[in-house]
Amino acid sequence: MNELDARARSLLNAARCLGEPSDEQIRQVLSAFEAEREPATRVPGAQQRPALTTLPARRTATRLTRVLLAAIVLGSGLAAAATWSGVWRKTPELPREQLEATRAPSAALETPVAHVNPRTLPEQTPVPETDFPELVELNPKPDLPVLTPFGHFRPEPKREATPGAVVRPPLHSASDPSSLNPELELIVAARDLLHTDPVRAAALANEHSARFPNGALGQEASAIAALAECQRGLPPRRAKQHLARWPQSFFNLRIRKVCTDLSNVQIAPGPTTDSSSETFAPATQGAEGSF
Amino acid sequence: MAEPTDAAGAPVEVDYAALARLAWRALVRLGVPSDGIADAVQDTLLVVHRRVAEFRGQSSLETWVYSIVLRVASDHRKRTRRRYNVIDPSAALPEDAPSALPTPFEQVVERDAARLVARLLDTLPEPQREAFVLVELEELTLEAAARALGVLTTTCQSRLRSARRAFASAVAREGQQCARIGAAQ
Repeated sequence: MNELDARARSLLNAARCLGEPSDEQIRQVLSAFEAEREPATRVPGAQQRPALTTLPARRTATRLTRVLLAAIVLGSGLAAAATWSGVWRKTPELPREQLEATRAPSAALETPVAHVNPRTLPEQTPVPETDFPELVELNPKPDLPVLTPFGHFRPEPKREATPGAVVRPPLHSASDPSSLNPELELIVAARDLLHTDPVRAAALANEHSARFPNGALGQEASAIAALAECQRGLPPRRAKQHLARWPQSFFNLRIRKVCTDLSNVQIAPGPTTDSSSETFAPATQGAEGSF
Repeated sequence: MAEPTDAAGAPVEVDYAALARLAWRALVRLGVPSDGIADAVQDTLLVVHRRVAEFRGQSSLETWVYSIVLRVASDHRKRTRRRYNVIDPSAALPEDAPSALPTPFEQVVERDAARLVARLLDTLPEPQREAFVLVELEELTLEAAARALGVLTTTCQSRLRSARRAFASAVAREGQQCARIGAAQ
């Protein structure tokens, strides 16, 4: 495949010096190169004199500065995006009917059936904290309410215990992080079935009582069992037990509404349901607990 | 920094002075403008210094450096193409360029030949020029040139064949032109 004739070949042979640098040019380049290398990686014995050609050094430094600035800008952008994404995800995504219910709680309280059907919730929708305000409360007397972007009350996740207040035990200890999950899952499942299958909901509540006799969610299980019992039209035996055991329970008002046969049962008075301020009222004991 | 090793795992010593000479020569032959040669050589050495730990001896160190030189040359040509319409081949020949020929007359012949070759190389398309320079001037094997170019050997061979044909045609035209000038004188 030698397409070069003799003349072209001889010309190439005669031009072997094309591009050959002088020794001085090589020295200058090496000096500039050594000046730009990291001091720790310099070759021992190499020339350490300053760069004779300052232009490459300046240009390389400018390039490094540009790269550094670009990295900073890119990193800031990513951090801002991550922060915004995190804030966005932390915002609870409530279904439309629950939004309306939380904005008009009085109307929701008038209805015996809870305003949220959990089966209609998307699978990835987190359980709204308003359904279990006491699950996240360490202090039974919460402080000022928190106004969420959707206008409903949500207790603060962290709150210091006030002196003299009765502090609930922690729902789970750090040494046994898995102890809460089965109990909570059981209660959530029972709550989800409360309005569609009260028999099954009562069974799950009873299962909770059997599996977790000293569980942190015993009051919720008792309320679910009482409500399921009343929804099935049975005598309010569990409801009476609940009222007797937790006279200041968060769920008493709901139980009284659902269990109409409890009119002669005396329980501690709760807040009025027609109060417009109840929309953002703190979840004190005696307020209506909704399932 | 990890030491560069050859295919057998033995450490490879990098002679930056030799690499600088190699890079300078190849960059000139690849068409980098004369006032950008020092920059380009320094860029090449910095890339070699930064990435030499990645060298694992799949090819010779020179072939690996040639692949870097090709990229640096391409970058510099693109960068300076807007500033230079014509590359002066004489600028690629320093006054004290070393010569293997002993006599001044032969040195003059060599310089003239180098200028002529530099001018003819400028007429080649870039891919053909790269293959031609690596094989015909840098005297790499076809396989090594293909590795440095990052192409198949057949591709490199095709480019080289086209480059040789174009270069021979250009030499023939130059000869005819010289003959016409001689006849006119």
